[in-house]
Formats: sequence, structure tokens, C-alpha cells
Amino acid sequence: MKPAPSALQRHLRVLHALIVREMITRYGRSTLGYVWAVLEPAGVILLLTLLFTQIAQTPPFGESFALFYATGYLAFHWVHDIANVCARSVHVNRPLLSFPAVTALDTILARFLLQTLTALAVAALILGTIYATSTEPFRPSISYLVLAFGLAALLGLGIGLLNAWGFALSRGWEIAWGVISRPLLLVSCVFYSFESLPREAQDVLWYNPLIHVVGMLRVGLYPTYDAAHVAPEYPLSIAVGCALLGLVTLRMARSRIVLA
Amino acid sequence: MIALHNLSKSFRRGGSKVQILRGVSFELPDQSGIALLGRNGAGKSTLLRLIAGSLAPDGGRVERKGSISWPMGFAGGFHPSLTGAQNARFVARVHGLDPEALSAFVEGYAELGAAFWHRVETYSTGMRARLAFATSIGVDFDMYLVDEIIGVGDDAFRRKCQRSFRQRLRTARLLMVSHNRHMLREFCQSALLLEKGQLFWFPSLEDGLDRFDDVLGLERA
Repeated sequence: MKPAPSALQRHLRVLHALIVREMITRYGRSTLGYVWAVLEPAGVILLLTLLFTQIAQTPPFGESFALFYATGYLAFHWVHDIANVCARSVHVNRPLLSFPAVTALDTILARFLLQTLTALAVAALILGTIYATSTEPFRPSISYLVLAFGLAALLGLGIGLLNAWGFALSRGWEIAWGVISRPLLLVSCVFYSFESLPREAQDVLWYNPLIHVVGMLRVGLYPTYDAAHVAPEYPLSIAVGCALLGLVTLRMARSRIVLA
Repeated sequence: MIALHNLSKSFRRGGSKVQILRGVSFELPDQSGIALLGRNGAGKSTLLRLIAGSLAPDGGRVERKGSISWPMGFAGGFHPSLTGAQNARFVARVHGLDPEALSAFVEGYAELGAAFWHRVETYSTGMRARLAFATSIGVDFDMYLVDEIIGVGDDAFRRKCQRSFRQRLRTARLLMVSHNRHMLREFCQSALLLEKGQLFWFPSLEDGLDRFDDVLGLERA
């Protein structure tokens, strides 16, 4: 009998195998895979910039339209993409769950790691390009940027965990979630600032955890912006709550997922 | 070594609850080949998956020492969007083996030709089974769980599979589900009968088969 690997070793092996497998199918099938990961958010930000420079004299704050819409869309995009990629991971990897070493949670963690790294690289590329081409001084606050990205990643993971079993067992769930989550782009302070809203709208939208992530990213990139409405503990508690509920439902649905 | 501790499992089939294990405690004897017998629907495949660990029990636990194969015979474990080679490398990484070495072994063994480099979703059932069998022979498990299939493809390939299996069983253990009694007699010396949620142990395969015939006879009568 060979010496048995430790539980941690076994987990790392499985994660490594799953990450390689994800890279092959997510990005490897067409050479455009990684290019597209950058082009999609860059295209949306460019479009918003072109559109709003026609309508408005100045962006809601700062001087660069591109930077303002980048802060809004990138934060939204992080949460949205990480959540969707995590939610689909059990469904797309279900055949691999018949290998005893591979668990549903492993497939989610593998995709979460890969998507988080991709999101980080894409954001660095887009923000780097904006600063290289603009005249505005670049004085980011690293700790707020880390906090904003961390909140986005955890929120994405939490929502993804919560949806994973539903996506795996029912196609209808995925479609319904797509319909429900679409309007989020309009109510997440992507195109406007929280401060520009009337008081009544602020009181309601405050409960959308995404506006806290967007606000935190803007605090990190605009040294004079204080975003008094942002409360990081609110999106954090939503993320943790979703994640716990997601873990419980995944565990309860385990047999059904493997046998489906 | 495999031991079941107070293991129970049930699932819903057509609206009614089927209890396939009722608090079973049993340590698998250290025998090279054990046949797992039971009626259709008694839960043999489920028990193999519980032992492998891909299914979780409702209660109790399975204690395992040494490496255990996935239940061989169904090709469900391969990802349709990956090629045969990529799937073999995936299995190697999961089990801590050299991906290139396992891929090279499977390529030679499975005799899939150029299809080895194509996506598994384009494979026929027989091709998938060849890939699955070659991969599980390529990973050196301490215990093999076999669900029905030990040889696939044409006669020559089937003989090759059985030869490899006999060789492997000089050091490894086997727990096997099969309707084919020739196959059981060739590979197994003892038997386990799964009946009404309980496991019965027979040190001699023939005694187990006799008892199993009684169970089947009672069912027909």
C-alpha cells in the first residue's frame, strides 16, 4: 500500500486538476477566450463613456468619464460574473462528481479562484489603460481597493453558492435568476452616483449590496470621495448569509445532484 | 481495508421510499475478490458509490484505508467537453500521478486511435467504456470497485482487459457486481448478498450464489 496523502494534499490535487480543466474549456477552446474576457467589460465601459460624453458636460465626479464608468461597471461585473461562474460550476462539472475525490464544493472553489484572478487581471488592465491615457493624477488607496475587490469576490461567491444547487437541478432556475438579476445593472449606481439620487430612492437602494461595492471602489480611486452611505459590513453579512445557506442546500441536495 | 459503521441509506423511487441499507456494520474481509450479489434495485450500485465516497450515507460512515477506484463500468466520470487525453490527465492530477505518463498509457491501452485526441462527447458508448477501463487500469488502486463491466469492446480487447485485471489482482482487492456468473467465478472467491437492507457474508462464492438463487426463487414464487 502506498503512503496515503493527507486530506489537504488531496484537496489541492483536486483543485489543481479542476483549474486546469476549467482553463481548457473556458478559455482554451478558442484563442479569443482570454481576449474576450477583457473586451467585454472594456467594450461596455467604452460605450458608456461615448454615450455619456454626448449627454453630459462632466461625469458625476472627477474629470474622466471613462474612469467613472469603469469604477461602476467593473465592481458590478466582478460580483455578477463571479456569482454566475460559481453558480454554474456544479452543473457543468457534474460528470466529474462520480469521481469520489471530486466534490461539488471543489468545483465551485476551482472556478471561484480562476474567475477571481481573471477579474483582477482584467480590472488592472482596464484601469491601467485609463490612467495611462488620462491627465488625472493617480492616487489610489490600496486598502480600499483591496476591500472593494474582496467584498465583490465574497458577495459573488456567496450568491454563487446559493444558486449552485438550483442551477444544477433545474434549467428553469437559471433562466429565472437571469431575469431577476438583469435589472440590477440599473439600480447599482453604475451610471450615476448614490448622492445624485433623491432621498426616497437612496433609502431603498441602500439595501442593494452592490452599491456598497461600487461605492467602496470609488472611494479607493477618488481620494476626495467619502461615500458616507457605504457600510462594508452590510454586503459582507449578505455574502456570509448566502454562503452558509448555499452550503446547507448543497449538502442537502448532494445525492440528487450526483444521481441526476 | 473497508469497514461500514452503522451505515444507512434510502432514496425515493417513483414516489415511495426505498431503504437500501438499514444500519449495516461490516468489515470487508481481506480477500482478493468479493462478489456483491443482490436483486435488481436492491442497491448494489448505490452501495458501491457509498464505499467509493461519491454518495453520502443518510447515517453512519464508511472507513477506508488505501486508494479505492471509482465504480468502474459506467462512463459517467468523464467530461464530455474534454478529449480522451485531457480526461486521462485530469484523473492523473486528481490521484497525484504524472499526467503525461497516464495519458501515454491510456493512449496505448485503449486503442482509440485518433479519437483519443477528440472530445469525449463524440465517442460511442463502447469507446467511452474503453477509455474508462484503460484509465482505471492505469491508476494503481489498492481496491477496485467494478459495476458490471470488466471487459468491453471486441473479444480481443475483452481478453486483454481480463488479463490486466488478473495481473492487477495479485496485489489489489476487488469488489464486483455482475450478472455474469462466469465472470464472478473467475475473479471472486467469496460473496456478499445485499437483501432487504442487510448484508450477508459468504466465505465461499458458491454458497453465496446458492443463497442468491433461493432469494430469486422466492421472488418468482
